[in-house]
Amino acid sequence: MDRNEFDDGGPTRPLSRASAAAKLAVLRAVPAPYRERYRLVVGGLGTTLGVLVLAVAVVVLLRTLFYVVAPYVGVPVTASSYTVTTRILQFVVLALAWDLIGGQTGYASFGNIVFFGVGVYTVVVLMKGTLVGTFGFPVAFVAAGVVALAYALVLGYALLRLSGHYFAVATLGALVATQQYVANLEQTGGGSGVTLPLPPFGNVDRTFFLLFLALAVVTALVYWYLMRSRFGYGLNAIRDDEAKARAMGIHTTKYKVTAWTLSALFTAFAGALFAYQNSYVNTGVGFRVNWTVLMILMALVGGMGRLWGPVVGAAFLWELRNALWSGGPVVTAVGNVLGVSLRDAYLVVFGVILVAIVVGAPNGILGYLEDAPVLDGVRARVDAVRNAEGGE
Amino acid sequence: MTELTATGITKSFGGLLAVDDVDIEIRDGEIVGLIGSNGAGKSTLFNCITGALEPDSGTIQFNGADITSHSEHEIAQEGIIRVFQEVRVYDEMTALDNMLASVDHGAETTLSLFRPYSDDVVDRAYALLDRVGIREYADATPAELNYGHRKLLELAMALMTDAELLLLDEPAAGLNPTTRTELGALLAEINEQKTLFVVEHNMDFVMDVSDRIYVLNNGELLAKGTPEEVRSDERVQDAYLGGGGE
Repeated sequence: MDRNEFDDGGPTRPLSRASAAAKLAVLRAVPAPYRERYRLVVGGLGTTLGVLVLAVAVVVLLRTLFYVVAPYVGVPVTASSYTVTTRILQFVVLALAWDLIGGQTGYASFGNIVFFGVGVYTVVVLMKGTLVGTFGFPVAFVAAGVVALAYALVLGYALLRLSGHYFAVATLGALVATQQYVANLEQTGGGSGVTLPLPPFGNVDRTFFLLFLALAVVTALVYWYLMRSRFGYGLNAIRDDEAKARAMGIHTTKYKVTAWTLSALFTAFAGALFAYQNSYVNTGVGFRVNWTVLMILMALVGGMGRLWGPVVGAAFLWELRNALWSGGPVVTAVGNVLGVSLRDAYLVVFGVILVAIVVGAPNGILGYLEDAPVLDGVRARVDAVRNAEGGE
Repeated sequence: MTELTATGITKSFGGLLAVDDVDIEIRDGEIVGLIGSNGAGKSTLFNCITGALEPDSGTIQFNGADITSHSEHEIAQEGIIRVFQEVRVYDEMTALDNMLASVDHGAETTLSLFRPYSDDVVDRAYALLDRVGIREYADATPAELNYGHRKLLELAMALMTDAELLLLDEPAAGLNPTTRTELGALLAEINEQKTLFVVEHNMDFVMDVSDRIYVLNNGELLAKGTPEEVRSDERVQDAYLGGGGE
């Protein structure tokens, strides 16, 4: 097969096509004699950054394991040190759940956080007893899943008829509409918020860390199990060519709605846990539009459509956000040079990362590293040096 | 026992009558050809049979059941699979995964849809890739395959389903003469288990592989019969073969 000079033979999903076009544009801007060198520098830089991201994720993973076993081996962990890891585990759930519909099925939902809110507010109305009586958390937790399933079914049959941008915008609309509706209900505490009963158990931080860990593990296992089944392959088929999938006997509507409801289920469970842990919630916290963007970015950065992609993305981006947020000496110094406070501008940094990923690594960090094994890079460099010496 | 009977199929788009009162019958174990110039209504007829379009009138019976108003995925699950004219495979998946995605989706139970594949299924996928001659490319993505191999992959995917009747839309188009001959042999081999309905522009090829042939012209059935009968039919010669067929 003959290939264009700039065509890296990558896949042909819309994102990849956009990426290929962007790459080509950038490459054309580089004067011809420097293109090969440019490619090597960028490739080397990309691999290095990719390895760094992976290293952060590995550290987070090891830290998580350490927290699990620490008390049993007599190492004390202070309550507050769980906070960051617990939030990362929550985002692992959100990003994996998003990836089921967004990555594996190719339906980019921009409203997934709506199910998080549904989870939050199911817990609110059941634990506060403002709708149908007062219940404990376990009942409220299960109910959050049931309500999210039902809501996702209704939304799914309506919205999954749309595709591409229309679907993305419609899900965003569903998110805003639901948020406004909930904000105007008396039973939910409205926009001014509501305080939940405190958990009866001691060692709250560790307990919620373990609960989120359990939820993340279950989500990952379900994801891993499903993606090896006929259903999982069917979702990928829909992503690649929905009309072909239909012609091959796949009930596309049923598959899409099922993926979407599963996504909703885990997202709502995360919301339910979050509400109980946070104790105070209002509609701004329950339906955080920022988080809907963040979970997508996590899947995208790590690598969509693969189990470890959203996990790596969640660990890296949340750590990065915290680093920028807490503003250590390095961050402050970089901020001073740029003349901005990075603490306030962390979303700008994320924006830059988004562009870099879409252009340079449409399959995410993991996809990038898979396609660019270190040895290949080294070999290419040796060849290039040889060519440069011989040619030009 | 595979049997497809389409009776009085009519389909129009606005003022254009694409298929006009066409009767088709395909019996178990046959290879039936469908020929006609561009715009004769071949693809529309295929679309009506596979449920991609619903005919304005007429009925389609498959193995004794009326499937006229069934949806596309139902008809596929009932045993009619179409292989497209322009190659349609799943671009992001390896050839093997393309095969695994094509396993019959009309599961016995809903739960079995969610169970991971057994080794038997994977073995069958490899065996079928082997049968069409592209096993060595099992781990390649479609972008890494040449055109002919992509066509063979799509054919293998159709075999991976449990379909009894395959509708092949120009299987030989774009193939070089050697590959075309190999394809003819392969179709004859596949025909031992599957019934085939083939749209084809290459006259030699279709005359060679088909048991019977239908000729469409301007949406109407112009002629039908064995390849010899069709070849010697005057109307066909006037309308089609004489007009610069091959």
